[in-house]
Amino acid sequence: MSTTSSRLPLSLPNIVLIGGSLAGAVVTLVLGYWLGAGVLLILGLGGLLSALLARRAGASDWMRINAIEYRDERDARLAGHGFAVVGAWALALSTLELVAATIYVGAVTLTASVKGADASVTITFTQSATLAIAVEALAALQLFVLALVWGIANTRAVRRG
Amino acid sequence: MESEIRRMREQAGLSQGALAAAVGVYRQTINAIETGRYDPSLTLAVRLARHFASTVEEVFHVDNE
Repeated sequence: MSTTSSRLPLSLPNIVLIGGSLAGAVVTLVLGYWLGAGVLLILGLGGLLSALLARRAGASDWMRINAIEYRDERDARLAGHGFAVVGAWALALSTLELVAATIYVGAVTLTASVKGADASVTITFTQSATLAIAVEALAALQLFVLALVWGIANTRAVRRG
Repeated sequence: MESEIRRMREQAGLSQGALAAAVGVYRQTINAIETGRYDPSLTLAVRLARHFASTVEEVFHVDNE
């Protein structure tokens, strides 16, 4: 995990997070969705304030780690430990999310009925069925991407020793 | 891990911030090393030892673990 570059005003992850939020706020504002724009603006400005406070000389360890503004090897090591726990839990919770979404699809959307002597099965897809399948697909995609990133990150960590 | 960092730093008349700046880390990292809450990387351990013209063994007491 890299430390904050002194050439940048903020760490690279913060530039992406804050820049993305503020750019999203502008686009949402142009589209006329004021509430969404307000939420993204607060998110971006909150992130900016947090990052700037974390870059002050007297900022606490807690503030620098939480704001993703690492200053030296100890910050990077602390953040690495924290993110390892977050990663493991994110993977576990994503798996549970996919399980729940799959059960939801089965319970709510697929209406199967057995009819006649030949016991033909009719499966009816309603509008809510399509929505539920989309939710399940999203959960599956999220788990897949998370597992992929997890695998790549662990492989790199092992190669670096 | 116990170390002689605090004693050596005070002997040299340095503040934690000054030593941190000299070896390229944050002040709280020096504090964490002095209080035994953080074991520095090999690179930082060597850098600290060199700063005080000592060896790593003279600065850090691994045998006391």
